[in-house]
Amino acid sequence: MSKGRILVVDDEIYIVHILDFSLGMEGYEVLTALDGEQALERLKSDKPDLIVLDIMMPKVDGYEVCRTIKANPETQHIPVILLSAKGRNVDQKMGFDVGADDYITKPFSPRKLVERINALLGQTVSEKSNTSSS
Amino acid sequence: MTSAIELTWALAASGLLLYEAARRRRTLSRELRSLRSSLDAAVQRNDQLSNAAEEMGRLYREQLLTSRQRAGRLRKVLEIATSINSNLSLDKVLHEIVHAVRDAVGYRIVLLRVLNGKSEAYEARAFAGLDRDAITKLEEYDVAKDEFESWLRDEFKIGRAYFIPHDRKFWGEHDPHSYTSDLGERVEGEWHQEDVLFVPLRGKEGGPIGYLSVDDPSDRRRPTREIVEMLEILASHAVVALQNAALVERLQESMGRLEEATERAEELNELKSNFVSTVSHELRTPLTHIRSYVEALQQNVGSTNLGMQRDFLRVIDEQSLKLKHLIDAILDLTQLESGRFRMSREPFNLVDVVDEVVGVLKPLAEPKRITLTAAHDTAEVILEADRTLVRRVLHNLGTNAVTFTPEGGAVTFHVRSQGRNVQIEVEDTGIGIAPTDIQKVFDTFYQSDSGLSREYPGVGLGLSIAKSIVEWHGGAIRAESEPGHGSRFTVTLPVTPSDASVITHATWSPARSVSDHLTRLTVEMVAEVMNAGITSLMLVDGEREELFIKAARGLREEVVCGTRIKMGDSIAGWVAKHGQPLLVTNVEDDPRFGRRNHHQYETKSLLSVPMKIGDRVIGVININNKISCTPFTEDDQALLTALAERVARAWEHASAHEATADQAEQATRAMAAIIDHSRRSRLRLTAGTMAARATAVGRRLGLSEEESRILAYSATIHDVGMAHVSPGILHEPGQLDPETWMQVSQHPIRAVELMKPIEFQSQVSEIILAHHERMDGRGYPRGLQGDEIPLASRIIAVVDAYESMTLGRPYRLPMAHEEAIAELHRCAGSQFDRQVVEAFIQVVVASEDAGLIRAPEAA
Repeated sequence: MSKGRILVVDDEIYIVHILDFSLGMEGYEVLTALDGEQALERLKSDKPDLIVLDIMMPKVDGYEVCRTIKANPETQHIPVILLSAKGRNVDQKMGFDVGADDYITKPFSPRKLVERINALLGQTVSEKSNTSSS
Repeated sequence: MTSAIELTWALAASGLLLYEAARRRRTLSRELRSLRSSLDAAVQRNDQLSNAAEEMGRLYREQLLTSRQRAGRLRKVLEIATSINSNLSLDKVLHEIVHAVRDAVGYRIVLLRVLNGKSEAYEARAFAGLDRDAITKLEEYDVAKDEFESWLRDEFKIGRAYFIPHDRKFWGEHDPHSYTSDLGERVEGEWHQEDVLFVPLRGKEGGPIGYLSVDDPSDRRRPTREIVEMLEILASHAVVALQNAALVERLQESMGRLEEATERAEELNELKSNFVSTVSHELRTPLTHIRSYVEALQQNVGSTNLGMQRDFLRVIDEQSLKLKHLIDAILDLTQLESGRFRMSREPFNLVDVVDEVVGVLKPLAEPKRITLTAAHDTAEVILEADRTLVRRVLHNLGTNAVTFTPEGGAVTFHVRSQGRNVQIEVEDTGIGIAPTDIQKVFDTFYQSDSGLSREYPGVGLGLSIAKSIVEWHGGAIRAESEPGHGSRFTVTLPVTPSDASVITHATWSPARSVSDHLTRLTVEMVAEVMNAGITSLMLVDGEREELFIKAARGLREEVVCGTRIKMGDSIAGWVAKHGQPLLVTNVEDDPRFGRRNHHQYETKSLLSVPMKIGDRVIGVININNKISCTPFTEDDQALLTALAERVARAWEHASAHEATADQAEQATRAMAAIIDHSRRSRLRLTAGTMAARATAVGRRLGLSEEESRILAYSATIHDVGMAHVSPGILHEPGQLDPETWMQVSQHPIRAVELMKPIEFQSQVSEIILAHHERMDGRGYPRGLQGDEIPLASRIIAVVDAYESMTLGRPYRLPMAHEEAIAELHRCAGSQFDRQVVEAFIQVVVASEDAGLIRAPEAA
């Protein structure tokens, strides 16, 4: 039984592979996209529980993808974790400005990323259960 | 009764008459009084008038003073805001001046001409009393400097002005000044329409910078002393205005330069911070892979999934290799860009290097079935450059071409020789570059921003590195492309570093009269003769007790413009202060060297000699980075000292007060001949060895330091006379025809004549003159015998002969060392001095053991 579905978006194929591996080991189902355009296309049919999103990608960049997700009522509730080599404060601020829920800089530890994902999903799950119970 | 009546009438009449007379007298005296008073009034008014005239004059002067003050204020304003056009303000001031001349001095026509330093002609700049047509004509007609100077004859002088009366027939037919019509008969002292009156405008240095001329006086009189004085005063105002304007112009120029430099600094700063952020991003990417895969492996230690582990290790391996390449490339690039790159130039065959690179690239091209070819015009293109670096340029361009060319395409290398340059083209049939991006391809990490790097792996630094290397060699690189069809990269490199240009620093100079041309020649000559990569000529700024670089070859412009050294400080300062040469074999060991970072010194060895006129040090010549990459020696010091003495001599000639243009010209011709000669001898690969071998022999034979220096210099220039011998004869075997023989036999005389303007030691001339004499008296040009020939000439004869035997001629194969020595032995006593031959052989054997003298190159 899957703990949830996670969309991983990165143009570095090795990053996609390692996240697929680590999250798979943790019991998540992983969807993948190799650029922003693919990611947005994918979101039209699939609704993942969380998105891990790179910033510097060809065609549509991560900021733009995040902004689009957060502007769409159908997808705006999906938590987004930005995963980027851009490590300056301004980059992080920009990330939160476009609506990201978390920001992790590369190089990153897959184990820590999994912890954050667990926390974020746990939170949203508990929020959902709260609203349903009240 | 009647008589009584008549008497009464008569009395009455006379009374009336008297009354009338008295009345008339009264009227008359009244009239007289009124006349006198009106006369007084007239006189008074006249006084008033002349007072008023004086007052007006004073006012005009004041007005001019104000205009000068205004010009002063203007200058201040301009110093602050450089945006105001100085020409406008100057023209305004000049306009005021010519109008003041017209109104105050009383000439209806006034013209002011200003000397244009570049065209050496006086251009019409301000006018009064002339119509548009006349002004246009005047503006079109410039007065040449020489012509103007021919007008300045003492016989015409009045005060500081010149009056050329028409009856002196000075102008002949043509008179550029007359704009009034002929008024016919003259009265003595009357102005004639062809009279000319002008005042030269003299600057601080005394030379005229313009002149003020007037015509058509309102009183129609020839000028008086007074008039001339007024003109002089007004002329001096014009001088001030002109000088102010020149000052403003200079200030604006330096302000402009400053702004430019600031802009460039800002640009560089921005580039640098962009570079840092891109570098950090590029470094993070492979590092991210490595870290995450290592962690995943660690977490799964003991897992039985061997396939996964192998895959992960492969990624780690691949990414760490990528990281290594990236770091190497970045280090190379920063090293190149900071100038801390050590270049070792050597002559090599470019065609071989291209073939090598093509071989290395084959494994990269084959999997994509790319045809890799090297097309050459010739089998040999010799280039004097850093072989490893040039190879890197070709490798990077080749890798780039192969990377961006799809399967089945073609990459072609093409080498061309173009006189003093070589050209290398790398052409591909790849994806091409969009016109908007063509300039950016040389930017660091250009590729990674384009997003192409995912599809086409590479670190995006190769082209930047290639560009830096090419520019370090004084060459250029350019890219052309047709998107979708392919790209072509063209590299142009100078064949020898001697084609690197001399940069002159245009600032204040104590020897103002020494032209930039002579300065450049000096640097060029020293660089060529000494075979130095970096040569700089520093001058003493007496006011500030500092040295600054006047001209240099091999240094960056910022260094040339920005270097100032206190007298006594560091090496050049020490040399200037003590007036002694200094040879440093390792800068890092020398305490006089203030800075630790000597990146411009490839060989760590440098040589610095003073340039003196009499006992006064006027400058310092520094050389470093010998192109052969060996340290400088005592022989180099002797030679450079001798050269510096000749340079000082040439400069003295050029700047002497009574110097004629001809003398300066002869001095420059002598220096140009030396440059030409040393370039040609370098082509024969005898660079430096002549002087070094000759002095070594001389020392062995007991020559003093002074004699060695003379010998080193004479050996270097002894063949300058050959430049004027028909070029063909050196390349053709067989007997010489009488005319050519004449030229050959005269070449020592020719050399002495050529060098005379900069020669001050008669020994040098004697040595050069006698270097083709033979011990048996059968030499030329004078047929001297034995001891009549100076020892130095006998030494040069032997060294020269050995050199030409072992190097060969185009029509004769070079002899082996042993053969040449045998030939010297054979001719000892007849052609050569026995003692010299012995000493020479000892020197050659000793130095070949020490590897100091290059073994003759194989044919």
